[in-house]
Amino acid sequence: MRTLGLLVLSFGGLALAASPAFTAEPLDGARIYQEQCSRCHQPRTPADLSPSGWRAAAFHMRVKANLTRAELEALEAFLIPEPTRSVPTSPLMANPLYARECQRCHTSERVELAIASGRDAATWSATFARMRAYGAQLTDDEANTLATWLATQATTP
Amino acid sequence: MSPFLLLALTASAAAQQPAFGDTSFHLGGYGWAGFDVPIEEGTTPEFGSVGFAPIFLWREGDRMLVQTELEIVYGTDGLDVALEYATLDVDVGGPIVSVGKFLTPVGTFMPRLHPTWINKMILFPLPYRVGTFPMSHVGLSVQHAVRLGSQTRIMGTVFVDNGPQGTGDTPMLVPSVTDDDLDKGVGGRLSVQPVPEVELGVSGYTGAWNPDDPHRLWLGVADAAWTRAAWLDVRAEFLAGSWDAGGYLGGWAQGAWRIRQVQKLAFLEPVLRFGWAKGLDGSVDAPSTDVATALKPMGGEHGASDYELTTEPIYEFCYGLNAYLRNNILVKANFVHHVEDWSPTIHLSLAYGY
Repeated sequence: MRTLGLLVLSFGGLALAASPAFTAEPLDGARIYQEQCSRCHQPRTPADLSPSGWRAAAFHMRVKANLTRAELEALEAFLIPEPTRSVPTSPLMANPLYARECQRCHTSERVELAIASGRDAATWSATFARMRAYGAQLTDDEANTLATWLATQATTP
Repeated sequence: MSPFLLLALTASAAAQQPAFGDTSFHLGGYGWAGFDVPIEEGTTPEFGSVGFAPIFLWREGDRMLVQTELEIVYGTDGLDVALEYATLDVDVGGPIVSVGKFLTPVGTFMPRLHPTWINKMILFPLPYRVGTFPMSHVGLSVQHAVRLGSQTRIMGTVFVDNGPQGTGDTPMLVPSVTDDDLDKGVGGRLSVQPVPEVELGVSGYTGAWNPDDPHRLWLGVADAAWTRAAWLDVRAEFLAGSWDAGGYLGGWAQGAWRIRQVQKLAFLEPVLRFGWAKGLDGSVDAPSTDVATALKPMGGEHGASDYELTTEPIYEFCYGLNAYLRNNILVKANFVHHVEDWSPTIHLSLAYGY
């Protein structure tokens, strides 16, 4: 039992370290998904499961991958889609490619922030290469078209 | 702290939660089918075992999950149905307490990487196939994770089970629901992600058996992984086991590159794995029956634990090419050989995670 005692003491130290000071930073569910899920397997897209399915599967992954509760909540916010993540009146929704693929996982606010940072078409293309790894269904031509269009939005009044 | 106190704390924490407002159910799992081509003269290519492993998930509110995985295999012994794990997992205010039958948290392969659609190769790594490692335990575990800043994470798990069983000087590493002594088996894993792409861990397990002539077993694993956004996966584990009448050392290293950088080849993933194992102080003949069950998905006899470890090490090379039809459906082609006796074999498998 001495071994068990040492293990529990070590574990208690871990638990004490979980103070709000360490965990107060807001978590980005998309980033948690990208960083933690791919530690073990190829990613599933948010569209793969129903909201109820994701709620059960996300807790399952919390146990399997040892995620914190805050990470689980951020992951659920990302994986469980709202009817539409983008504000319907967002000008981005005018592009059918954006409406079909990007807003399945990202809010228009997030994409608008990326646009405002002044990304060029090449940077957007690199982004789409990553997004396709996570399940975005874009052909080469569609990715190029969307990258060019998003790059021009930074200069569109 | 005794496991009974932990159980009481778990029940108390669950009782203090608000009434469960919603439930969610999901049926997931994975399936596979294989084909084996031994290259040695006089051997016959054959369709291997086929099976599926349904996973039932039932989530109650935000604090409780019931999860169960069956493994249903039609193989060389006919139809076989096994309960791979079945746990009740409760969030007790951050840490998670799990009771039931759970996959061993020692190392990373058994708890996280062994499902056929996740395992980059068809076979288990060699050190897991030599009959010296448990796959699951019946008992109680507590796990917790902490984020330190935006990059670093620390994860820990401790668990207690009934311990190894047996009447001789060689342990049986089975998830026993009976116990022949009061000395429980204990183990755990501590790991750190200094950055999200890197995970380093150490884990271990110890337990005693045969109260009339007490013996003790020690297992230890050190693991490291470097993964990049689902295209690069490099990992290695070093395993060691010791008990009065024997012991072993083993290890495996694997690199996989999904060719995301070339659009037309992005569905392909070459994989290379090296494994080795050797016995210490004489031969090792302690088959772990639940791992033997788990080996059945590997097809025919070629994945079976048919090694007797001696002080002469065994070396195995596996060369693989995976073709992803989707991120959760892949065809695996493996070429496997050993250094000592060559004995090359080609394995083909279709794996599907759902």
